Amino acid sequence: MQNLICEKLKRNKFLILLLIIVMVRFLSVCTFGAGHCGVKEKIRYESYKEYEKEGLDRDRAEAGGTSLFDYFNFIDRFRNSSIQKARNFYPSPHSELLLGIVLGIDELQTVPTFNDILIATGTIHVVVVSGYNINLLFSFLKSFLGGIYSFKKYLIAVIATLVYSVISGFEPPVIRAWIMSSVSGLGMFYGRKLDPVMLLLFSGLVMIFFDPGLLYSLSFQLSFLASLSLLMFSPIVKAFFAIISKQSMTKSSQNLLQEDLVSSFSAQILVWPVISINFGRVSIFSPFINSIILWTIPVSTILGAAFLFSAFINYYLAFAVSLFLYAPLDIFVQVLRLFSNIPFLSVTLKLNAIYLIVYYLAVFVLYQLFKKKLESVANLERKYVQT
Amino acid sequence: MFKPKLLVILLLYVAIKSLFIEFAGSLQNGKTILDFIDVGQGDSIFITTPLGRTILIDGGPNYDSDAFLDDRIPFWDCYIDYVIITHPDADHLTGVNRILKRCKAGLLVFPGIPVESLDSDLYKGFINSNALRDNKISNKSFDKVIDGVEFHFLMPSEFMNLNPKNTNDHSVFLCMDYGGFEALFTGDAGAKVLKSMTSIVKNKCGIDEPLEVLKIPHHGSKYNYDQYFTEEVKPVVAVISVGKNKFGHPDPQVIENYAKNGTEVFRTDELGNISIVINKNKSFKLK
Repeated sequence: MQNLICEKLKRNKFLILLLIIVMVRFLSVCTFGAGHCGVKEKIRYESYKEYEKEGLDRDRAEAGGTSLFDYFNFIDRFRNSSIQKARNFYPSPHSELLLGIVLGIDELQTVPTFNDILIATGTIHVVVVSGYNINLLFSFLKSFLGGIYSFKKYLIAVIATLVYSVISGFEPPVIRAWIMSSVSGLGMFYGRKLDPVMLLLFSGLVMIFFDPGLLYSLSFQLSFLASLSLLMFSPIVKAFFAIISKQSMTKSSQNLLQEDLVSSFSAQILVWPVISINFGRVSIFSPFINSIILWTIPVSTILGAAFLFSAFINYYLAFAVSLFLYAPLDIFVQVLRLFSNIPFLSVTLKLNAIYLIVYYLAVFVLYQLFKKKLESVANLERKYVQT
Repeated sequence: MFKPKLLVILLLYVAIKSLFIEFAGSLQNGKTILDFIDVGQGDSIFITTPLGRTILIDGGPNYDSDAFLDDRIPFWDCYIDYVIITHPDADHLTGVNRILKRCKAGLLVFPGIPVESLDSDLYKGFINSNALRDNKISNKSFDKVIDGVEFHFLMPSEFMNLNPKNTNDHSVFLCMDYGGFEALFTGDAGAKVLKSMTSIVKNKCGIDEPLEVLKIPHHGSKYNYDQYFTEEVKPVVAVISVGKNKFGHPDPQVIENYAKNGTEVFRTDELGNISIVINKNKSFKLK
């Protein structure tokens, strides 16, 4: 046992060193220093209240909240004119959905009914720009440039994704995905495959090093935990589903709906306690509803980007694209409206901090204890199905 | 991912939805529909005449009314025949502003308040942008018959002297008459205005029997209730458009007074969207 721990420590020397540095910085800024950790969101909330008082339809200078790049005026102008363009073509929850998915512009307070539906069905995470967009853009560039195995192409991909993350408001999930994809791209460039969990921990630590206050940010917590949960549990959940449905693994991986169900379920394992502690309610059917509508998101992201791009060029071109884009957006809205009528959609449940810590410790200990066993079960299942 | 098949399916979806909306309109079969949209603390009412002409009264404090319109009008060809802003308060104007970004209006009706007397940027921007866009606008009283439904647009400021600072009292009155079925929409009009408008409304709209539907002014506030008005028009059904608020709307006393007068009161915060379907023979159904 001791040897095992020693070996692990040796292997992850760099990460542990980084962890210590980050802890020192966090303590010096947040605990001993003049720290203003956790204040950021409060300010944002108050400015929102003021905004609400002044009326909703004002041109927003602070579209997307407080970010590092607020003083970059042209980005605000771009975002504002995107808002206008989307609203010229689409009715309301659709335009807000489009802006949220593609550019990370949070205008949901203008459609409170739809906002409530999103919270009740546990799908609000979809309407904020996520790390997924970065992955999408990265893989798009990869196929567009024909692989990123030359340094120049790699640099182009990294800079293009950075520009996109700045435009989309430089929110924590985007920064995390940007760091992860550029580091893994670098690894690929040197012909090395990196452990994704370590990569995630690394990007989280780097972010906290630059801004220790992020540790208190809800979007950082959720993004980090959802990714970790996906990486840790999705193989296990997948095997579990395969056993239940008695389908072969290869076939089940082709089944889009089931794939989405697996990822929605495995993400929830670490995420739901944080939701519960912050919102005081947990959506029971969230994974099911998510798996039904998840396929519309990449479709509307890509078509939405094409739409916004064409809206800046020509009205008729944008109109043609808007006809295609309307369908995935409307399906998303209508399906959620339908599901919001289900009684007992969400239960009121507010965990306190002690239960939260106990839950996480239990999950991690169980995971470590049964990791080998579960993996072998998953492998066995795979073999059993194949033969 | 983007196979031609998927794109065709997406287009088909849009076509089917548009057809469905058109079909639902033609099924209306000589009925007029009043929709009181649940927009929270604010007003928004959508009227559809027997042949599918549309009137929008106010748009609420948010964009929920736009979401409602999407199920009634195809998104790529949005046209509303008459848009009325009863008065320039945020809880009436915000939604209209949003809707007019994508929809065309046949005629914009707004109260006769001199724009200079107000310091509301929302209203100034609204008037300016719509005047620039060559929308037809009107702030005078007029009568109009649409598909056999009589409409009377009334500006209180033409019948009495009003303080230009008190925007609520300038609220545009809309009176509707469909084969003897009358409905009255009062915006946020105050008690004094209601009292002085009683005889005008009765004459213009020909309300001799009880009034079928009344939109209770100002979310059921106690300062917008007038005993004389209520006794004279004797509403059968009254609707309060109200949401969560800190003003104590609707006032329980107001609801009680209406109930004493034999009026049934319906609230959007309890029922959600309220839809009243009126047949040719004056009978009507509440949904």
